[in-house]
Amino acid sequence: MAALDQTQVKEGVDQETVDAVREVGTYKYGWDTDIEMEYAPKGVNPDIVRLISEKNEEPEWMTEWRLSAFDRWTKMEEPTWAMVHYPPIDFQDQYYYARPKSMEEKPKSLDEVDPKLLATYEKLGIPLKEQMILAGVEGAEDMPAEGRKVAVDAVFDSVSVGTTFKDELAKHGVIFCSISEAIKDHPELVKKYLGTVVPVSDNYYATLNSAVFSDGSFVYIPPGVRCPMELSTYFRINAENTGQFERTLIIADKGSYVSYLEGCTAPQRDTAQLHAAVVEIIVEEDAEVKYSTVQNWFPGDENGKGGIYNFVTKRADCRGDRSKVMWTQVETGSAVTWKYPSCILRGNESQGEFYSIAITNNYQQADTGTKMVHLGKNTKSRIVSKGISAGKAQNTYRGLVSMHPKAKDSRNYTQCDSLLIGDKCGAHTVPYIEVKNNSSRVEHEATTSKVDDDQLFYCRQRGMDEEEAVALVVNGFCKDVLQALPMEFAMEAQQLVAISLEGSVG
Amino acid sequence: MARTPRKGIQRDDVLTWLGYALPVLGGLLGVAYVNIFYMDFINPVWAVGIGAILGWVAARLIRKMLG
Repeated sequence: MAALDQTQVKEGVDQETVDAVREVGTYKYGWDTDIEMEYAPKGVNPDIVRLISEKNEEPEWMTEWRLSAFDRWTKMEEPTWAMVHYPPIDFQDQYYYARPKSMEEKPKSLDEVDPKLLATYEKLGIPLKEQMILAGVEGAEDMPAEGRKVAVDAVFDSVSVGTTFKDELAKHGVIFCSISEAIKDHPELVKKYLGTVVPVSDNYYATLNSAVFSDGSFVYIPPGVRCPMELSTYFRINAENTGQFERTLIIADKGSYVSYLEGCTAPQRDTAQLHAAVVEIIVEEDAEVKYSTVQNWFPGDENGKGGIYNFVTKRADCRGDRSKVMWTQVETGSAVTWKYPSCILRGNESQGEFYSIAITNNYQQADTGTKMVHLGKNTKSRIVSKGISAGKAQNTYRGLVSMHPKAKDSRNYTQCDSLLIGDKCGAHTVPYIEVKNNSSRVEHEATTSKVDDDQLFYCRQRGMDEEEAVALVVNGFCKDVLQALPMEFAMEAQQLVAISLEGSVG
Repeated sequence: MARTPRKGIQRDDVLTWLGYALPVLGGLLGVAYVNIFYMDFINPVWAVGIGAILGWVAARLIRKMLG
């Protein structure tokens, strides 16, 4: 890009073209918002935990819950079993709470909103009408929405900036708000479900999250309700040296349905930043939840400098009979990814599906996969994982399929494919299979391949350049997973797949 | 004696056509079923085969009924 900056632009070439060329191969969301922030002191200790709880105006039981999590975290050791290598994280050298100063009081009109915050939304591609709602302008939700509605909860560093279509969802009995609001407004639901799927001391990062989570989303779908629109959360890390610890809790009551989307971006910086999230999903009898993620954190530069360390614990508990959960994820960003969305198939005839694309380029490292724990009778699960490695990246699939003694006649099908682009990258597959009854069936298919020269030759014959040809081959490779994404995300994911691999050939 | 040229589609034509079309349709429905209800983990070979056989049986029954 430096070369391009120095090149003299020919006469007649407009600025838009120059900007478009500059954008190619760069991280699109790498800019930051110069906004006045309010920070908690650096480091993590019981005082910081209390401070976060105080900032969120939480009740005493929540503060105690956090403190007990912090106490457990201090006794735990950082896991080292994952196939990822990174310098030791100094947990005391970062901020655990950062919020825009303008968010101290909710603005009532557009004039009161920090224009920089508005500009951030616009740049991230959130529609203008939603901008007003996200900015908290009263009455904006009553304006007619254009096109397909997607309710958004925007999390900016440590705070939820706003949630759209709350009133419309409330008409159907759906609760969609930030978790900090839910703790205040719906304590009975939070108390009943928080920490029941991912226990406080589940793992090192989940325990840290339990102690210091600042915000996140909360969803409750009442019995028999099909959520009238898709719900989504947009996570944005903006502040430097700040970790983001969000918590998402989704409860789908009997016979309900919801599709939930998650997106995330962060500025391009030389220093690595920590992101440790927890997502808990409770699925009751006959309910269905679809959870889709397009993870686009800053992956670090081409020399492996900077990027997000992404340690996420996601788990769904299919508690009721015939309940269904579907995880779909496209992982293109973050320097280090450590993520295993899981399904506990407790109810009889419950179903779990996992579709994943993990793309690593340059020095990115990803250790991802899923866990399907079959506890109920006739439970079914399906895993389709596509790993793509380029540059000097390492991509690991780590999965567990466990059939418990009572999970009679259960089925699992796992397809795990890896694609290598270049000769310096790696793909690893670590499947764990435990079958403790003799009526269940588990199938596992795995392939590792390189981008075929014949395919590239065929494409290039038809006028494509090498990168376009690779993007086409890779999109074909990922087809099964892209098809499982909602329309809004499928288009974005398809473009991301191509962009993530730019510069990986030749 | 020269045969009278046939006009339009006769009943026999339809009955003959059914004998070929229904097994094919059955097989296609089998493929559709496997793709729509993929969590039933049905072997596509069985689905196509059973669909084709059911189509053939249906064609036989229709032929029998319509003489």
